[in-house]
Amino acid sequence: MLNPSDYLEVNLERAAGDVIDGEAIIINLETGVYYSMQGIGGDIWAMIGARRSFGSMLDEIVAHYDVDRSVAQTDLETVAGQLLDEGLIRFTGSGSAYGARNAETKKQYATPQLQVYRDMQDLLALDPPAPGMNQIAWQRSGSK
Amino acid sequence: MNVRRLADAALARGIAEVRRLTIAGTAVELIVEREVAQMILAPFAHLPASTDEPVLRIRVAALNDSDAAELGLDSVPDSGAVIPRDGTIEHLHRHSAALLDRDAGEIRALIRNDGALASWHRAKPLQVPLSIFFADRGVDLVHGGLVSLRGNGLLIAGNSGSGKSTLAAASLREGFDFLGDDCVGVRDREGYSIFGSSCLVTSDDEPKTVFFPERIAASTTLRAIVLPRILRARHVTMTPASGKEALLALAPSSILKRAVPAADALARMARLARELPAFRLEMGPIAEAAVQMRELLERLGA
Repeated sequence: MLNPSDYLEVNLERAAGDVIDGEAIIINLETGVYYSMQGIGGDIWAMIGARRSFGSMLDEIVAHYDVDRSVAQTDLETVAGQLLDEGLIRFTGSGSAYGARNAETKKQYATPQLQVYRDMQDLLALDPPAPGMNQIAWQRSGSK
Repeated sequence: MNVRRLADAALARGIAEVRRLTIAGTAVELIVEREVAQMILAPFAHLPASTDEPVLRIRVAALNDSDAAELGLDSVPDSGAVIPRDGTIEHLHRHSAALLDRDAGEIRALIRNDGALASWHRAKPLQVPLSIFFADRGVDLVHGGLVSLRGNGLLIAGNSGSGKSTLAAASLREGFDFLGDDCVGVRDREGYSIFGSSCLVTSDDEPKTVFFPERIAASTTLRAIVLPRILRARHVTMTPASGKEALLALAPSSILKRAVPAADALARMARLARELPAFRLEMGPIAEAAVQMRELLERLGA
């Protein structure tokens, strides 16, 4: 059970993700498992990337999609729980403050669903990625 | 800095071969101890020579047992280890050690001269430092094939076994140039040949013997992404694919193996997947697939 004041963020040491065609594509850099998050998954991933609180994300979804709050809350808790279990996101102490405003025309809601792909396992078993590489290059890219 | 000291000492003792090449538009100098010259230079033999002042200098020497012991390579995990040290990055493996000095534009590597090593093990010492060096310059080393017709490139994406190498090699029959079938460079819409391909090398004893030496290209402009799948169908079918499909075919293996930093590289690949049209190519007869590749470029007006 997530609290409205729980802030979430991407676990950057372990995951990289982006949104395309409205879906989030996420890669677990440690296990090689990768994911697509369908439905309104792209919006959810973008909000987690912006370090939004659970309550703020729920407000945003209800404001922009034609969905009951209780349904949206259950779906968001479910998918956030999956992302937490997979180590792709984590709790953070603080984040960005947003106030959701109701959209004039609400979009059609589609349940966020996490699809898991494990077909990289054989490749990585043969030639596993070296741990730590991502963090090293990441530090540098911000300084250049 | 042991890798630097040991590599320099080995090169000072032995005879080295020197090549100046252009890799992804960057002038590179390779200085390689003769003992490992064939192994190291062969994957780059197809790239154009350069007369410019090198931006990157790569020095490679043979790894002997005492060097390996001093570097503690026996205790390195199978995955290898990437270690920042004194402003440099070391990449250690059981059979190799490499050091990248990003500010100086220098790579030093030691690699065991062992014919029993798999080809991807031999390429290992330079892959990681090269991927970081080029990532600093906006070039991602992606897991994919790349062929080009009159300067118009088709990036072939897919997991191992999807048919990338088969399709790239078959495309030569339709007049395409070959840039790679496993690891190629991408910067915005430009595609680059980085490593030579095993499919163009007849044997380790004749590493420069390629089937179509005149058909190797160094760079091209990307026009589309092709996602092959070997189906043994009677006919080849090509259908539009979504950006999501293209990204799923291109990004996971590229990022898990080579492209860094992961979040930046994924963002660049996502932009490429949004901007370029993508097509599924369900392969039956190989010759027919190659024809479809040529006809695709014609339909795209390239």
